[in-house]
Amino acid sequence: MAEPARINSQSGVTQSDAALVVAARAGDTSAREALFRRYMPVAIGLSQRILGRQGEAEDVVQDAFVEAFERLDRLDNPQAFAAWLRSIVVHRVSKHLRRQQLLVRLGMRTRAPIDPDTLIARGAPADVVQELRAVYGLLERLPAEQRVALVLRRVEGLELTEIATQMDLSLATVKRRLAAAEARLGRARPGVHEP
Amino acid sequence: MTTPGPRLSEYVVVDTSSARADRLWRGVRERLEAPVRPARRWALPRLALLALCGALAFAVGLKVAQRPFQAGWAKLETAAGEATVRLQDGSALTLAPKTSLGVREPSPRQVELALELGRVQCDVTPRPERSFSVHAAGHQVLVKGTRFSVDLSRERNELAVEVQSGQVEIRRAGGEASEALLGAGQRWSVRLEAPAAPAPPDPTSSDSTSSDSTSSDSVSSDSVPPDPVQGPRSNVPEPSVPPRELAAGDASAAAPRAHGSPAASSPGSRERGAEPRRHAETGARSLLDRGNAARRAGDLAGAAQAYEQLLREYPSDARVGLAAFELGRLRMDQFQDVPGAVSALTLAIRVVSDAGLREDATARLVRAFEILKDGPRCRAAREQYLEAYPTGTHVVSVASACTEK
Repeated sequence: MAEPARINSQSGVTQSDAALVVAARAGDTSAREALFRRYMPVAIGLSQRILGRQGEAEDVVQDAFVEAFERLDRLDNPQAFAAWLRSIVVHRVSKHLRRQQLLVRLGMRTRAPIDPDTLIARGAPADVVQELRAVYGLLERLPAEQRVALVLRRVEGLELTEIATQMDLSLATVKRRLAAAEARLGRARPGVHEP
Repeated sequence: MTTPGPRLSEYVVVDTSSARADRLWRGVRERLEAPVRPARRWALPRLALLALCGALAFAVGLKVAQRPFQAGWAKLETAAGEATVRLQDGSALTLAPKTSLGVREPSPRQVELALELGRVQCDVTPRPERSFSVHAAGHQVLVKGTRFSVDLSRERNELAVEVQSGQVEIRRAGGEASEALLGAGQRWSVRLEAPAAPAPPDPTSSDSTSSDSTSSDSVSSDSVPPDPVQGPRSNVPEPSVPPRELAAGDASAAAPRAHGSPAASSPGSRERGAEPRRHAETGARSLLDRGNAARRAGDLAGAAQAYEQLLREYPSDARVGLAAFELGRLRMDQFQDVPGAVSALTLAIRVVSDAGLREDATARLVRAFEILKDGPRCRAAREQYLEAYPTGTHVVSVASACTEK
C-alpha cells in the first residue's frame, strides 16, 4: 500500500512518504507530524472499524503511532510506511482485544455490545446495513484474532494475502481463523433483526 | 494503484476531523517527548509471576539451571522424585526421576522442549495457533493437542515416543520430511548409534522446527512472534509430504521401529523416488519465499521476477496459483500492467486450489477488465463471481463494476 507523494499542507512542498520517514528518523518533529496527519484517518478508521468504539480506537492509534515513530529505524522500505503502520495498528488492536477479553474473563470488566447504529452511515444501502449489523452483532463473541480477521475480510474487503501480511500470520492460519469466524457469521445471519 | 469498488468500510462513520487529529497528535507528541513504556506497568506482575514460578519449582524439587543451553533456554532437572510443571499455555509436563529437560522461553506461537535425558510426559493443550515440539537425540516430535511421552534412555541407548491421545509427527532434527506419524496407542522407538547426546536446537534456526502437523495443509510458518517491523513470514503452503510407510517389524540396528497401527512409518525405498519431487518443491518454495521477501523489502521488480521464474520453471507445483495471484497483484497495482495482470489472474483462477484465493483472484479480474474498459469480459467475470460467491467478501464492489455501457 505504498502511497504516492502528497502535498504537505503546512509548507506546500510535495513530500513523499520516504522523504518524510527519512526526515523523521533524523528527529524532524514536523516530518513526524506530517506523517501523523497523513495517516491518522487511515489508522483511526481501521482501529475503530475493528473495535467498534471511538475511545478505545483513539488509545490504540496513539499507541501505534508512538510505536511506529520509536521504531522507524527498523522500517526497511521507507516508502512502505503506510502498509507498515497498518500492520502495527492491526497488531495493537489485537493486543488490546486480547487484554480486554482477559479482563472480561477475570470478571474485571463487562462486555458491552457494540451499537451498530453509531457506526453505520446514514444512507448506506440496505444490504450493506444488513451485512454490517451481522458482522458487528457477532464481533464481541469472537476471539481477538478471529475478530480482526473477519473485519479485515468483510468490512475492509482485503484479500487473504493482504490479511496475512497485516496480521503477520501465515496464509493457512488466516484461512483457519476466517473459516471459524465465517461459520459463526453464517449461523448468526438468520437471527439478525433490527435492534 | 487501481481504485477498487465500494467496500463496507466506506459505510462506517469515522470522525477524521482536524480537531480530533489535533487532540491525538498532542497525545502522541507528549509521549514521544516523555515516553512512558507501557511495559513498566506489567513489570511488577511479571516479577511476582517469576517469583511464584520459582517457588513452585523449588517446592516440587526442580533444579532450574541458569544457562544450560543457548540463550533463552532454561533446564529443568529432577533427582529422585517425579515433578510436574504447567506451562503458560496450560500444557503440563511431568518429568520422571533423573530427567533433564530444556525449555525454551515460551511464546504464544511456539513451545519448544529439548530432552537431554530421561522421560517427559506431555499433556498438551490444543491451540491451533501454537506449535509444540520436543527435540531429543537428533529427532523432533511435533504435536498439537495431545498426550504423549518422550523417553531418552542411556541404558538402552534408545529414544522412544509413545502417544496416548491425539497425533504426533516425528522428524529428523532440521529435516522437513516426516520420519513417522503416530496416533493414539502407538509407540515409536529408534536405537541410537552413539550414546544419547542432547540436541538442543539452535535458537536462531527455530523456523524449521515448528510444524502444524494436524492442519490439512501442513503450513509451518507460525513459529515467529508477530513483529510488524519485519513483516510477515512466508505464506507459502508447504507441500504435504506423505510420511514414509513402515513395514511392520522392519527394524534394523539403527532404524526406527514402530509399534501399533500400520500408520506409523519409517524410511524405505520410496525415499529415492521422492527426491526429484522434493528438489522441485524446495526450488519452488525458495522462489516464492524470495518473491515475498523482495516484495516486503520494496524490491517489486525482484519480486515479480521470482514469481515469473516459479511459473516458468515449476508449472506443476502447488505454489503456482499463489505465485500467479501475487504476480497479478503486482502487475495491476504497482506496474499498471493490467493485460499482464489479466493473464496472471486467469492462471491463478485456473490452478489455485484454495476457494478464498480464487474468490480474490476472480474479483480482481473483474476490476482488471473494468480498467481495460472491456465491457463484455468484465460483465462475464462479474456474473461468474456473483454466481460463485453470492455472499462473498467482494460482492459490493464486484456488483457495482462495469455497469455502464
